[in-house]
Order: sequence, then C-alpha cells, then structure tokens
Amino acid sequence: MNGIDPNAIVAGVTFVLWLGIFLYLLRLENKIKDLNR
Amino acid sequence: MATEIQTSDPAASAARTTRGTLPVPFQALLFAWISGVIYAAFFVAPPVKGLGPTTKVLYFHVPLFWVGAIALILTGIYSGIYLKTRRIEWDTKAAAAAELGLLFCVLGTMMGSMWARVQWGAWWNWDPKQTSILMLILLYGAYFVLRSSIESRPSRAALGAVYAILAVVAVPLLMRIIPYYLKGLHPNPVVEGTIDPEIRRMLMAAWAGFLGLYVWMFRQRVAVGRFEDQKEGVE
Repeated sequence: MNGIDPNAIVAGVTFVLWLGIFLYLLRLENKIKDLNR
Repeated sequence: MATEIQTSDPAASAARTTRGTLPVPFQALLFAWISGVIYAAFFVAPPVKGLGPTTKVLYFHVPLFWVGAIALILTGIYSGIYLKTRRIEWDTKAAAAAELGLLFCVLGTMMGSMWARVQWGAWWNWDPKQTSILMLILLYGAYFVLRSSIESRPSRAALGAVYAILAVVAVPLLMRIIPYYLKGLHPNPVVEGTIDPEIRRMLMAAWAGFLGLYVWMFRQRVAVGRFEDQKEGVE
C-alpha cells in the first residue's frame, strides 16, 4: 500500500460508483424502450 | 386503415419507442461531463482555505442540493398545472420530480454528514442548515405518505397537488432564507460572493452535470409512471 495515493483510491471508487449508476440507467433505458414497443 | 398507416410509419414508431429516454449523444455527453467533474474535483480543483483535502466534497454536496431544490420547486409547478388541467400526466411528473428532489436532498445530507464528521467532529451538529434540510426532507417524506394513503388515483393527484403547492413555499425558506439569517457552522461564500472564481466555475460545471443527470432520471421516472397509469387505466 506504500506509495498509493489515497486521493486516487477515493477518486477511483467514486468513478466506479458513477459508472455503476450510469450502466443502471442504461439498463432502464432499454427496458423503457421495450415497454414502449 | 388509420391504424395500419400509424404502425407502418417508421418515424412515428421510432418516436414512440424512444419516448421517455435520452438520446444517445446526450447520454455520452453526460457520462463524459460527470466523469470530468469527478476527475477535476479530485485532481484539479484548488483546496479551499480551512477545508484542505475535504474540499472535493463541495463539488458533490452543494450541487446535489441545488438540483434537489429545483426538483422540489418543479413539483409545485407541475402540481399547479395538474390542478388547472386535471391531466394525470402532470401529477405523474410532480411525483417524479418530488421523488428525485427528495433523493438528491437525502444524498446531499448523507454526504454533508460525512463531511461534518471530519470538519466539525460529529455526524450531526444541529447546525441551522442541517436542521432546516432535515425539516424539508420530513416535509416531502410526508408528501409520499399522503399519496400512498389514498387509493383513488384522481384524489391522490388532487390532494398531493395541494400539499405540494403549499410545501413549495418551504423550499426557499428552509434552504436559503432561514439558514442565511441563523448563522451556524456552514460557511456562506457562494451567497456572500467571496467564493474563488475557479471554484465557482467548477461548482457550476458540477451543477450542470447533476442537472443533466436529474433530467435523464426524471424522463425515465415519468415514463415508468405513465406505464403504471396505463396499467391502472387512468391515462
């Protein structure tokens, strides 16, 4: 763990969280399109 | 014959399929924008005097509340339009806006609580802004309790609309006016105009990103609400 910037770790976790939210919203988009058909 | 023409029209079919969704270029832009905000908050933004490394929370905590406030005000506006037109789609929009407004405010509060633990030594301090936002969250939580207690869809919409119009008065009062006059632990450089221009620019960028996220989530929530209304047979 020596030399790893904690700031970078937290930034990485935040980005992964955002990616997860984005992918979830994309999944919802497809479900809505299916229901619209 | 009219039905055959409708279903064979590719433009109308495409519009129907994508109703309630966000165009792909906007999805890509939103992803890039918020990713950029995250990168800038952690690696680019200058630290605020007195906040040190916790400065980065500012770019999430504050815009979440700004967007939450917009959403709750929109709840009042959509509710007013519903009472005037009695079209159920406006109540669906009002409920969706309230849900998202409440969500954004709760997330902002949770983030603020974590920040308070580091900066002020406790998860909760009964600071005027903390207390007034808690009151706002309880107020809009009660909006959903009210709605869930009414079975009839039109009655739910009407009573919910009246409540939301009354509740919207509390938004500027609790989020801006009362905390401004009751000094507490929260600094107020944005309102007082002493904020660093670079930090202001970053806050605006973060706000734009969260607003875009709200718009996307709102469109999806309204689409789901519309399906629920169709299933209940009220649309």
